[in-house]
This record gives sequence, structure tokens and C-alpha cells, in this order.
Amino acid sequence: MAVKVLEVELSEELDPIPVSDAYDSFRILIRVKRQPVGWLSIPSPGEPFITVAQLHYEIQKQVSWHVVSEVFANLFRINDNNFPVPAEFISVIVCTRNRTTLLARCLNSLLNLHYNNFEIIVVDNAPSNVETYQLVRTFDVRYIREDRPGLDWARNRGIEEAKYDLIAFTDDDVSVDAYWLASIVKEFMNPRVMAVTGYVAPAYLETPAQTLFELSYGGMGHGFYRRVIKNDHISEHDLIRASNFGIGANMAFRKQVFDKVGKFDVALDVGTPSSGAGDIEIFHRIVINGLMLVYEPSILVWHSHRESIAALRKQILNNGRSFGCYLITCYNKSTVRKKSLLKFLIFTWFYRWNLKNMVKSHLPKNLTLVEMYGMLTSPFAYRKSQAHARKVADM
Amino acid sequence: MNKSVSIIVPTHNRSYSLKRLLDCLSHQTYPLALTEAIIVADGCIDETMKVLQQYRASFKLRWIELPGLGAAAARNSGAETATGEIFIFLDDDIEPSLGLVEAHVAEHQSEKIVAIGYLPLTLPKKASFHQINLTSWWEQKYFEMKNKYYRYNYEDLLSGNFSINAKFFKDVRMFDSSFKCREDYELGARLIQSGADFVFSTQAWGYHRDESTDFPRLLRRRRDEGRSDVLFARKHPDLLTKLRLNQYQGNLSLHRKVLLYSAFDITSVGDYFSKFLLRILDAYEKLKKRQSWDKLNRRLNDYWYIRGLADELKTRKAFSSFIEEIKSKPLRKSIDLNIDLKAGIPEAEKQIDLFRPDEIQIRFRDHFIGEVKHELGVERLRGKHLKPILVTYFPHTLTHALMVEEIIKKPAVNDENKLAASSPGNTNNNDGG
Amino acid sequence: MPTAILNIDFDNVPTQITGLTAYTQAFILLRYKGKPLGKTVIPVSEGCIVVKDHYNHLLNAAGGNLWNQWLFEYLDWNEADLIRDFVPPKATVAVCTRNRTEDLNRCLDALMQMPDDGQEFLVIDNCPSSDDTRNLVKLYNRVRYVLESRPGLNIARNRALTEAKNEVVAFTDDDATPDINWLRSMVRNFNNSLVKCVTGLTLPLELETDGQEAFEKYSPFGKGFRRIVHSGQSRNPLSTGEVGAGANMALHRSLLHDIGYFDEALDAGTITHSGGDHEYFARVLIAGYHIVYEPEALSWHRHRRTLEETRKAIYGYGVGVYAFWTRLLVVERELNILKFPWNWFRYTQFPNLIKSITRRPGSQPLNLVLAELKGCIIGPSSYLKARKISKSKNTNS
Repeated sequence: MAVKVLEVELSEELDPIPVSDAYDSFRILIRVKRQPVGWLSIPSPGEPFITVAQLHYEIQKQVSWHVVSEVFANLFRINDNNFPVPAEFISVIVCTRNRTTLLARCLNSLLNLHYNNFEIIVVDNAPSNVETYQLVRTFDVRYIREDRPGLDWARNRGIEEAKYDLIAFTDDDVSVDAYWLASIVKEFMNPRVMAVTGYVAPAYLETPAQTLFELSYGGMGHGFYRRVIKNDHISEHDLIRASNFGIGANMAFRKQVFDKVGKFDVALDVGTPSSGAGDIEIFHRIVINGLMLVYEPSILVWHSHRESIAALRKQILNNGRSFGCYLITCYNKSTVRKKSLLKFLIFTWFYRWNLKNMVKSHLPKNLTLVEMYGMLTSPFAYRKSQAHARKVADM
Repeated sequence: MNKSVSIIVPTHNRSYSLKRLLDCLSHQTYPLALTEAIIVADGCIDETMKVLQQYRASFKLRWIELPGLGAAAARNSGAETATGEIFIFLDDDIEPSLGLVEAHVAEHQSEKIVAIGYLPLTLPKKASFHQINLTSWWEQKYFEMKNKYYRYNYEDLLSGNFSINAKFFKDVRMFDSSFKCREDYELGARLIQSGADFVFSTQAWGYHRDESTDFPRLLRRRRDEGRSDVLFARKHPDLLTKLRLNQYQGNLSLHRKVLLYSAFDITSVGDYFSKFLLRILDAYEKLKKRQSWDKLNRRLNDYWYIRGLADELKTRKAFSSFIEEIKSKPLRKSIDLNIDLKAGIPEAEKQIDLFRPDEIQIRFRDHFIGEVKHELGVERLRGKHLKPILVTYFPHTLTHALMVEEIIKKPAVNDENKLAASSPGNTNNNDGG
Repeated sequence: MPTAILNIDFDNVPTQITGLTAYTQAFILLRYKGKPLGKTVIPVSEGCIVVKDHYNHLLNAAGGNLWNQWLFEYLDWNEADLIRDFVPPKATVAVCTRNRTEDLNRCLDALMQMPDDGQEFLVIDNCPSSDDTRNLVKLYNRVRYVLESRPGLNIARNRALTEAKNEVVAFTDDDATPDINWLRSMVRNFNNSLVKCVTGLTLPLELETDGQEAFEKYSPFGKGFRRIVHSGQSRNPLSTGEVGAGANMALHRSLLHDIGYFDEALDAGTITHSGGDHEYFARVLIAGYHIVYEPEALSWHRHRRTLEETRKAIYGYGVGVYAFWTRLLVVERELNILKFPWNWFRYTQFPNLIKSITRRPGSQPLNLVLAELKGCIIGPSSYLKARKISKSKNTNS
């Protein structure tokens, strides 16, 4: 059940799309002057091409509202699509561990950016071999080795090494859109913006695990509506639900943010028993401290989802576990009222996400169970992570 | 202003309103020398003939006596003796405005014009539900026709006040005198087929002094309509779907089954019961129960309409085989047109005016906007119908297409050199109210 | 929690709206080339609104109306000009006022901005306690001043209908500020001989105080952004709450002949407090005429500022509704009205009451709900009393 992932830019003349037997449907990201506005699903027709007329017809049927809204926004100059002159310098940090094929793709996409003034820092996190080093040497990028295991250690090391005041993070299993950095810098032209996140689209939907994750579980995207998040106008409930603010594979900060709110929590994220949520936790901390965070879908990267069901199951387990660890962190740091946390835990997380998924969603029941299991074991994971963090810190 | 006009008025025992009509004709703004009036007294037993004989008309006044053949036959025999270039048909209960004739003549710029005049209705104080319904129906119909972009259909030919070129009227072979009722719609259907240009004129107005349309009379009229619709379907099989009788075929709801059964099979019970229901209807009106009144009113109208069908066709089996027979007849072929709006709306309108299609498929380059299906009994499309069609039926597909084309029109800014700095410090105050 | 009131016209969108430090949110009317499309509320952050940050939300709130207006422009399609040979009737603008010169001043200033289509302006000064209104009106030389010494809004309305020289009388309250296109949008709807009444869209002029917020939440005047033709066939002619309000309506003067005058025992200035407009609408529909709700006829209403005034107004609505139902029953013999109190209570008032007692999110303040109920109980007797008073006055004079 492979799905071909494509993107179509509506501001250019469309071409017919060739159809191959390997895919039984198409999932096409529709963009209007580079702004992504929605997904189009077309089953493979029996003919060798999807004609331009068919494509327009499907666009009209499926995403007309979003397309027209975006054109209106352009027409009325509400959302201009001019990019800034690349004057700002920015550091791009890629943390990686033993995944050279993916990393190569990632670095290639970074070197094809429509932006000039940036440096790339690859942070090799406790590598078990020298492959990453050898690969990175072939590119014109900085290589840094961080031996303390844990993604957040690597991220913090990247921050220390970064030369510039703007720092963008992406993962090694991601390939970035050509306008990724330009879009990020554009947001930072507003001096009040302290952090930005963006849309994460699936790079491939070749295996059942990938389609399951993207189409049934919900994937990594957070919608095509721009959002400005600041604590003077969002509820405590939404503050806790920081997983909605963005994701670590596609985020950028001003360096001064880390002076104000501290760096990433080293007891969290991949490489520790909590196995995630370092990104969510820092978004939460940024907003709690009254800083402005912007989610802008035109900041776009393409993520390669896990290929096997086993890996997917592990990822979903980690999602449950890490979100639990994040909630416990919030509880211990008293960033929000305990009452709201408890209410969130019971009504939103347990009831609305898990129980309802159990009954309604297309997701296989065992995956939901796995996530619940992760959630329930999170207190133990949290404790272990704390111990782990102390131990590593002493290294 | 030099065309001769014949005003043809069928009348039946309404000498008083006939006199009023003649008085109004005497004071028309149109030259009386060019005017003749032909009164067709059809089965009159009142003072009509006396009124006519004594009337001292300032225009040419002639009359014909008929033994009660119906309005269609009366109008035809009037038309046969008429000498004018333009015929104006008026009902005897109309009180024409003084500019009516002039306004009718002014509309006849070409031979195929059929001008329909306005009959404004005024609601009396404390109007009955029936009067309110009737007035709303007429005014709604006129309101639609007043629209500049209106697409006419055969039911717009209202015989109470309309005018037509004499030659054209004879070419389409006048009214069908076998119809006792709905003869106007039947003529309308033939006029639409022969490509008549309907126009509605608010200037050619007259009061409709319809004093005697009471409720029982209306129900009798429904029965006549039922009878006429059978004839109508035979003569114009392609308009079957437009007729009320078409609702009584195929899978029927329970109340329609009951209506059919009682009107065809147990007529005496049905008639008696309907008289009883008429009383209930009055009671509803007294209690001002509008919704119940509406519902019952509709049922009663339906019943008497089906009674009319039963008069013609006798049994339910005959009715269903009649419908089958009509359905089996071939439909008229339609004229198709593909238009692309890319060249602009005026260009598309020109094209439609040139081809006068029944059906159009509308595109905008590669975008499919929509299609208008062939609708029977409706005049073929004109250029002026395009805009209302787009606005009413395809606003979303069209806006979408225009928007996508809009964004293609302006080339995307790919070049780094062209990138301009945006200025977030640009403030603009805007205040409310 | 004051709310700023803003207009955003898509034809000329500002990048930022600043100077909103006093507000936490903004009520926004969305327009395209002046035509109202929709409304929405967006948060104010650090005293300012960056329009781009909310653009998806704003475009969604404008909705299909924006599409339509844009398409009409492209097609050069004028919805107001579809009827052959239609000339809009001339109008008289009538403002009924009493001792509120500050509001009246704002209202008249707005009226003077309108394009001159030969309309007449009337101010009906209803039983004033001073000469202030007369002196204010003297400053406007196009406005005619009429003194009506008998107190009562409906009495003033009737006076306006008899004093008016033109076919159509457009009423605005003294505490309302009509938009520049208000009158034109009203009169162009009289293109069908059955349309004898047009109502317009009324939005809040300011939401500065808790009282005004509570009022807007409890009984918003706005009836949406779609034009609606109401008739006795399309709705129950007795339920006219959704048709519009007397603060923003235009009547054809032939109604005086067809259905008579406003009921002088109803509305402000009498013990029934309100209901005069809705009762008249009901009679219009019963007589078989249509009422058009035209959202382009836009007017901004200054709500009562204090919570106490708001409570009184809501109480007055309660009284007015029951008073006008009483009239329909007693005078018009409309027996159907008897089921209305139960329906209203069962499907609106009772659920609201429960919600406010249990303090569910989005519920109305309890004292307002109770004030309305109290008004309802008093309504019928108030009407009968007011009717007696008004009859005796008429026979005396």
C-alpha cells in the first residue's frame, strides 16, 4: 500500500503527473507561492498520467477553501511571500548518531538551500564508529563530537559551539525545503519572536508503517494555520499541551532564549530512558516565560518516518513515555498549577487521546495500547532518566 | 408609434367589469385611431350585449357572440377577425392603466416578441390566508420576471395581459381550443419552442380586479387543471416532468397513495370527505392555525387535481399506462456548447447569443466550472443568462479557478536578487465604528 | 475585560493595529470595499494585533461572503441592480430621542455623512425635560425638529410616520451610529411590492465595560451576514425576535393604511419597556407582507454601560416580549401564541437557567437570566395596565 508523496506549486503552470504501478495512490502537498495549504489524495488512475485538468478538478474538490484563502491573503498583501535579503547569519545544528545514509541526504538538502549566510554544525552524539566522521569530512560543514549520550546533551553542545545568534535545529532523518532557512530568518525579522517551529511533512509513504504513522496516527505536522503563541492569550490547558507548538525536527531559536530560560533539559529526550520530549519541554518553558513562539507552516521539512512496524511501535511507546516524563517535569518545576496538570492528565491525555483513539481511530488497537503502556511506565522512566542525567553529568 | 393594435377580450357574464375596461381603453395614451377592440362574448346571459350595443366608443369596437366555447376558442375567434399588426389579449376583469397599450406596442421591436404585462395585486386589509397565498404566488412570479437576467419558461405566458405580433400568433397556430384551462401554458410551450422572445413590461400594467376567485372556485379550477394536464402531456410529452401529475408515479408516499385511491376509486366518498375538510379548513383559518391550514389546503388542492385526472383517465391503471406511454416518446434533441471563460465574460456571452444553446459546459482553461443541463420548456440560453448562472450555481468553482489563474499570472519570486525586505515595523492604525 | 471594536477591510489591510494596550481582545468586523462580510474576535497581544498572525482565522471568518463579493466584482455583477426599471423610493430618516444629547450628537453626525439621495431627517423629541435636544438639532440645518410631548417610543414612532414626507421611513435609535451606506442599503430592498419593512445589522459600538460585554453576550442585535427574506410562509409570523430590531429598521408608509399604527401601550416610555417593534413586525407578517433582513444596512449601537442598566434592559425585554404576546392574544386573537411561552421556557430559558446555576462555561450571569424571567411574569399584566392607561389618555385628550 505505497503512497507516492509529491508537492505541487500552484503559482507555476502545472504538468501532468506520470503514474507508475508501484504506487496505488498519490498524496500531494499543495503549495501557493511556497506556502503549504493542504494535502491532496488521488488514487492512481488507470491511465499513464494524471492530467492537468484532473489535477485541477481534485484540487478544487479537496482543498479549494485553503487555496483560495491563501490567494486572497496574497492578493490583499496579508501574507506576503517576499523573502528577506539574506543578511542575518544563522547556525544550523544537526544532531546525529550512526545514521550515515539519512545524514547524507539531510546534508545534501541543507547545501541546496536558497540562503547563503549560514554554518552547518553536525553534532555526533556518542558514536560507536567513525562512519559519521568520515561522511561529514566530505562536506563543507563543522563536525563536533559529543560523547555524553543523549540528544539534549548534543543539542546543548551545538548551542555552545554555534557562532551566530540565530540557531536552527533539524534532525538527521529530515530533508529540508529549499526555503527553510529563508522562512525562519523572515520570522526572526520581528524582534519579538524568540522561537519558531514549522511543518514536518512525510518524505516517503512507502511502507505500511509509514502510512500508518502519517495517516492514522496523525504524523508530525501541526496543521497549515500560522499560530503565534504567547502566554498572555492562551489558556493553561493549551500551555501544557506544548506538543502542539511544534517538533524538534524543525525548530529555531534566538541564542538569548537559552540565557533566559536555560538550555535543553538533559534528563529528557532520545538517548535517555525518557526517550523524548526535550523539544516539547523547552517550548513549554519558553512560552511560560512570556516569550513569543511562532508556528509557521511555510517553514517546511520532510521527515523519513520509521519503515518497520516494530520501529513504529517503539516510537509510539516512546511518545507515550516521553510525554509522561514531560508532564512530570512540569509538575516538579511547578510551571503551571498542579490542578490544571491533573485535569489535563485525566481528561485530555488519558480520556481524549487514548481512550477515544481506542474506540474511534483507524489506528490498530495494539498501537494505542502501546502508547498507554508508555504513559503508565513514564514515572519509572522519569526516575531512571534523572539518575542517568546525574551519572552522565559526572562523566 | 404607428402600428395598428387589436385588443382582444374574451368575456363571460361580467358586464360591469367589461364596461370599466372599455372606459379605460377610451383614455389610452396610444392613438385611438390605430386601436381596435374585439370583445368576444362567450356564453353571456347577462347584460353584456346591451352594454356593448350602447357603448359609444372613441375607437373601433366590434364584438362576437359565442355559445360558451371557453377562453381559448374565444380568443382565437377574436384573433381571426382582428386586423391589427399587434394583438393585445386582456381578460375582462382587468382595469388597464392608461399607458398599457403604448407600453405593449413599445416592446414590439422585432417579430418574435411576446410582451407580458404586469398585474400588480394589492392585499386587502385582513386578507384571508388564501388571498395571502395567491398574492404571494403572483408577486413572486412577477418579481422573478422583473429581473433583468431572467430566463423565461412556458409558464410565464399569463394570458390575462399579454401582446404578440399578429403574424407570429397565427404562425404558431394560435391557442389550442381543445383546452378549457391551461391554454396559456400550452401556447407558452409552443412559443418557447419556436424561439419567441419573451419580455416582461412593468409599464404595461393593469389592476387585476379578481373579485370572484373564492376558494370553492379555485378547487374547481384545480380539477380543470387536472383534466387539461392530461391533454397537455399528450401534446407535449417532453414537458411531462414539469407537470404536477408526474409526482404521482413511481414510488409514492402513503398520503399520495391515499389521495390517488380516493380520487380514482371511491370518488363519492372522496368528494364528500373533501367537502367536510373544507369546513375544517375554515375552522383552521378562524383559529389562525397557519401551518395546519397550509397542509390541508395543499391536500385539498391535490385531491381536486387528481379528480381532474380521474375524469379524463377513469382508472388508476389507465393513469399509469398513460404515464408509461408518454415517457416512451423520444425527447427533443438539444444544442450543446462548450465555452471557455478565458477569453473573458463578454466574449462568452457573445458566443452564447450566437449559438443559443440548450446546454453549456463551462471551463476556464483547465478548470471545469460547471455545466447547465438542458431544461425543457425553458427558452434557449442567451448571453445575459451566463452571469446569473455563474453567480448562482458555480460561484465556488469559478472563484477557485480565477484565484488559481490569478496566482499563476504573477510569476513567483524565485530569484534571490528580486527579494525585497519586508518591514514589520510598518504600523497602521485602524479604529472602529 | 474590555474589547476593542475594529474594522478590517480586505481592500486595505493594515499590517499591524497598535495602541490597544487597554484591551485583551478585539471584536473585528470584516469588510470588503465597505460591505460587511463577517465578524470575529481575536486576542490582543502586547497591546497590538499583527494581522498576519491571524490571517487564516480572519479569512475563515469572512467566509464565503468574501468569495462572493470578489466574484461579483470580477463579473461586474451588482446584486442591488437586478430589477428592471426600479427606482428606490425616497426616504425619511427618523430619530426618536429623549434627553440623550451626547448620543444624539454622534448619531446625527453619522447621518450627515450619508450621500444625499433627497432624504429627509426628522428628530422626534419625546417628552423632553429640557431644551437641550432642541438646541442641539438647531445646529443641523437639514434636520427637522418635532416635539412629541406624550411619552412613549411607539408614540414617537407613530408621530414620525405621520410627519414624514417620503414613502419610506427609516428609524434609528439615538444611541446608534448608522454606517455611511445604511440608508441606501435599506431602500433598495423595497423593490418587491410585498416588502414593506427592512431591518439591518446592528453591532456594538463599544464594549468597554462589563455591562456592555454582558449585554452583547446576552442579547446580540446582529442576525448574521446573510440577507434573509422573512414572510408568513417562511416562518411563523408570530415569532419575530430573529427578524431584527426597531433600532435599525425601515418601514413603508403604506403600512399605516394596511395594518395601522404602532401600539402605544408598548415599548420604552411605558410600563411595558419594550416589544413595540417585534409586535409590529408580527402584524406585518400576519398581513402577508415580507420583511427583509439586509446585513449591509449596518449600524453601531452603544449598549448600556453599567451592569445595573444592562440588567434593567434585559428585564425590560422580558416584560416586552410577554406584553407583545399578550397583545397578539387579546387584540389580534392569535391563539397560537399560547404555546410560545412554554417553548421559550423549555428550550431557551430553562437550559440557560440551569447552565448559569451550575456555572457552565459560556453561561449567562444568573442575575440577568432571573431578571428576564421576572420581566416575563410581570409582562401580561403590564400590558393590560398600559393599554388601559393609553386608552384613558386618548379619550381624555
